[in-house]
Amino acid sequence: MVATWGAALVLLVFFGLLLGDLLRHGLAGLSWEFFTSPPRHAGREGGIAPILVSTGLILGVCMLTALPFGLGTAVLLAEWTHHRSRTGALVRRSLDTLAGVPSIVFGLFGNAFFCVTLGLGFSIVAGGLTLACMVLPILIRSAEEGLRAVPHDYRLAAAALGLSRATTVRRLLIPAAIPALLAGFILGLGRAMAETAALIFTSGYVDRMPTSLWDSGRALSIHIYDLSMNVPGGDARAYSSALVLIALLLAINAGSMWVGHRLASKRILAA
Amino acid sequence: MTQHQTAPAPVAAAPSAAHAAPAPLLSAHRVNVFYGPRQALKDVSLSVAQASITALVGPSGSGKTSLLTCWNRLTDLIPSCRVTGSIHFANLDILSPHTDVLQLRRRVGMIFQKPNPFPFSIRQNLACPLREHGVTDPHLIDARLESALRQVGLWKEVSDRLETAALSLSGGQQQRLCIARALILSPEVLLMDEPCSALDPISSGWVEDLIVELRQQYTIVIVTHNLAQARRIADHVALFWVQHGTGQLIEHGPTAQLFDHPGHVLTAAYINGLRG
Repeated sequence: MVATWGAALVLLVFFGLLLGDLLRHGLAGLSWEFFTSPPRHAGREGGIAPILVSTGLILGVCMLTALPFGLGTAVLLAEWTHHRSRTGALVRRSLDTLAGVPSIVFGLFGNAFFCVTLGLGFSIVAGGLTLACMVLPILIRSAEEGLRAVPHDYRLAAAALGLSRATTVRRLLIPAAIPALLAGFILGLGRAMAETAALIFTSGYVDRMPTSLWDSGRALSIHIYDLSMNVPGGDARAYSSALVLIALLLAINAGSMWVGHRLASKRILAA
Repeated sequence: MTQHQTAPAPVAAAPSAAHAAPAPLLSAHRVNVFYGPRQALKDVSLSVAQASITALVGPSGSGKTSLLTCWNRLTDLIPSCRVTGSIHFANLDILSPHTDVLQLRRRVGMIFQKPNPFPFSIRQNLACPLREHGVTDPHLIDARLESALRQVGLWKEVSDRLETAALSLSGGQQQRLCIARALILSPEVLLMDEPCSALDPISSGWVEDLIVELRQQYTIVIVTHNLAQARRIADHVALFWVQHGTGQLIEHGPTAQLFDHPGHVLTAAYINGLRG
């Protein structure tokens, strides 16, 4: 009992220290100008406007590609393959392995495949697609768990009414699994947003405002990495950027919980 | 045994005509059901007359629900389940691989023990199966929705809140909604798997009255553990029993005959509450 509370306390203290450090060093740098102006002097001055835009675009490309693939695979695994079938087991094992692959490996793969082979170059598209590969395992596994958790009664009721399997999946199972899908989406989004290594070789470093998805764009995490590692005197802006990143992650989590709660309270979803 | 094993009859023209001379609408001939290596039902032959209520009674595990789910091929949903024998609905061979299962299930509706409305609004619960079966005209959907809800006596209770969640209804209302959801597809047969056992006594009474009313238009097969209920509502009763680990049909006949002059010692013991 004491050990449990102790462990929880240690965790809280570390989180508090981290957040406190960020707030102490980063809060002063936050201003309207910081969010709306481009970086100057390699980021020592100015703001992060183009970086926020690039981050948003990379995440957009990532989630727009990963979601349909992820949902499709999850439906296939949960509804069309038997729980103990060899195909299902093989796909699941591959996904678990993929989920454990270091992100730098995804970065190198993304560079070789998307940037070079497909000729996308250092671009927001290449970065987004690389991130999509990375978050797919998380999305698929959580969506599959969500679909499996839908009460079997619903499937029986739907079958007894002569609903086809496609209708059952589309109209019944996916809506009922939305809380789990949302959880997977948030986990994936969080991981993609915090990603650095996979983006260095794919979406690149360029800190200008992107004019298209085929431009190189610098993500927030790379901006923080660059400021703290490569730019002497960039620490203050790095702290402020890190604070923004943390705030965004917390906001996404809170937002998703709110949406999930609202959907559940309306009882649109499975009770 | 008193069950009659007639060959599958063609669809009778009208329920009223069939009521005078009941023709078997559902039949099972030498049916065996296996779940993996375990045999759940052995060599069952049973015919169900049109526009009648047939009650399947007997202790748990005697294969009543297994037989019920053969008639709408819900057994397909259980990966290890295997059914042998011949099962007919009118002149349709249910076990044939060429049978259109979705169409079969439209014609043979099913009500489950636990009310299982979908987590949608009341309207969506009824409109979704209709749309799936090709009814897309909103006026027609509304008309059939109202008629189905009136049939189960739910229209007055919910007509002003069709958009609210079906799961916010009481248990008895949910079960009547599930019956309406089956009726909206204009089935010919209703399979009911202990439809009252999860309900409180008052709701149970309502649903029972409803089943009796439905007898005019539908052929009903009901699994029940409630012998008094079987006696009150059923035209025919079939008693199932577990023998040597598998479910078997012991006796089948008109309700009065089975209760007053049971032909089998197990039937006599069961209806007198001595066994089961």
